[in-house]
Amino acid sequence: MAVGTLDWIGLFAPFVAYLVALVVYYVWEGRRERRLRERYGLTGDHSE
Amino acid sequence: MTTVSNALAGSANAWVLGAFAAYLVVLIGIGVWASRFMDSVGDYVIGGRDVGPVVTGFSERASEMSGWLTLGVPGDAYTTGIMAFYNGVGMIPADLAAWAGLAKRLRKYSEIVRAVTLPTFFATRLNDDTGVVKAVSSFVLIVFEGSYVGAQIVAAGTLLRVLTGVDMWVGIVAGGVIVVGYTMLGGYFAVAWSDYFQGAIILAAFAILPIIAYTTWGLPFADLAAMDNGASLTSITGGATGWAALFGIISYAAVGLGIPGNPHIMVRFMGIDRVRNVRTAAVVAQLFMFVAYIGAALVGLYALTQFGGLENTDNAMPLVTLELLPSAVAGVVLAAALAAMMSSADSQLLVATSAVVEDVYHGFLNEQATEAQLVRYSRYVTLAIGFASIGFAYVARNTPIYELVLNYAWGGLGAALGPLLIAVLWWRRVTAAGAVASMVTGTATMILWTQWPTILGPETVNSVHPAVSGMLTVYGLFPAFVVSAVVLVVVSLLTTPPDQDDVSEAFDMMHRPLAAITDDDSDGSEYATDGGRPDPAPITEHDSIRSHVADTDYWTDDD
Repeated sequence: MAVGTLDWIGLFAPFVAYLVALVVYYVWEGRRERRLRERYGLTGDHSE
Repeated sequence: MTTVSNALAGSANAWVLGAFAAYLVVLIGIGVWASRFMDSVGDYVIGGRDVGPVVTGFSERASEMSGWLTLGVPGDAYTTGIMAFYNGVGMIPADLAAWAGLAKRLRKYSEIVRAVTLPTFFATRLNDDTGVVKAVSSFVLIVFEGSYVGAQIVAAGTLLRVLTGVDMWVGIVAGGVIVVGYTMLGGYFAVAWSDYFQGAIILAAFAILPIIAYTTWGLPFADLAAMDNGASLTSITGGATGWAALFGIISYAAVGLGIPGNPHIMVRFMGIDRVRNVRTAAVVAQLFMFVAYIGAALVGLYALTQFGGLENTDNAMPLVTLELLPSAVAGVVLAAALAAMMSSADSQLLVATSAVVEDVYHGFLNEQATEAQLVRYSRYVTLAIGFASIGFAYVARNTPIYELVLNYAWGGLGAALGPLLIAVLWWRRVTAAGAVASMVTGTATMILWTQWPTILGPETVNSVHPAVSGMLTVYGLFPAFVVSAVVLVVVSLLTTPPDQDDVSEAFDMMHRPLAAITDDDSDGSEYATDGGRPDPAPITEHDSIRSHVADTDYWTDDD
């Protein structure tokens, strides 16, 4: 095998972990922003 | 294997050169045409403010589409093999952490206090009336942004050399003169969409080139393993073991530490149109990085396995582009890369100029300066920094762009400003004295660490214990960031705490939704915008800098 198994794992595992972290962040950040807006009594888009 | 050395220089055919020249002419033509419809720089900025989160996230990453990613990372893969994929391993999580932990707080606070540049932001947040925080942070920007401009000029010179066959020094001087002249004209030529368009072309190239290469040549890994140093090229530690492997991985991971201190990334956060769009922008930026870093490393690996023998590793990407893409398309891709480098250099030169004239001269030395004086000095300073950058580029022309950027620009900004930026957003106890000490030690450590092999001699570095040797040769941003952070904490704790009422007010601004602040605070509502109206915030690096330039009327002759 051109690249050893451990090297493949070392290569791919971080990128897979980052993709998972990105999904977690997206969901968590959305909830956090919603909670924050609810806490300050903001609903909908106040910017326009 | 085909042996290619400097034969690459000037090997582009007429179709490549024609497409390359046509792209640049069209770009300039559109800029000139568009500028006729703008009464002022302010009009230009407003025109760019309605762009949403997808473009914002895209532009946050497109700003990285300068010499380092386009030429540097493929060059690194050409040299080190598959370990170059770890450039992404260092950068991607750090960028996500910055989006998650810094973007919204920086966006909200800088909007409220109307800070467009980092020195102004630091001085305002730390309530520093002495001007020292602003002066030192400006100095850091001048030195390292100037080096960044130099690195872009080297990259531009490399491309010009590859395409036309001119000597490297001619490419550097030509690239430098174009950058400085372009900035002196006010950068009007770079219409907002062209930045995204160029980023998209290069991103598409890094997505498509590996696919074409795979269908043409198959996977590169077996060929890598068959090379003389195949074992190290196919190892994620570059063939190193023990301490050397550990510090090698730390070096790649530490690249990401530069993100919080690099203004061209932070101003993207400061300029996002709506705070709630941050998470969408973050996802776009992150996906961009996955494609760009993996693609750039693969391009470098294919250049090594198929061509080899390159005297200048920065030629790896242009070589694969010329080989695999149709001539006209290759010309467009390389022209887009050159235009992106020019665009980055223009912004970096303006950041350095504004640091000297606005932050130091106007904000510190002569608060009563007239606009005519500021205009005049800005031009002198742009010329001076521009020519210093050309000189730097000439001296450093044989240094790979990868190292040039990491050691002399990215690393310095990251070490000097990164810990401070995180602290001012998250730590109530940080003081102006701690900030200054941190910037000074971060800068000094970064410069020193790069020079250890020169100071001690390579034999000495190699003869000491592997742990010490690894530490001395690790990427300098790692120790410099740590030292800068430790000094920041220690000096802040040893000096008088800041007024906690002021700090609480600042932290409240960072925490609350902007709309809540706007509703509560009539003083703030004049400035706070969260959606681009009625007084929209700039949204790109160019926009931020130009809005700052517009505020000071740098380029308006009113005398």
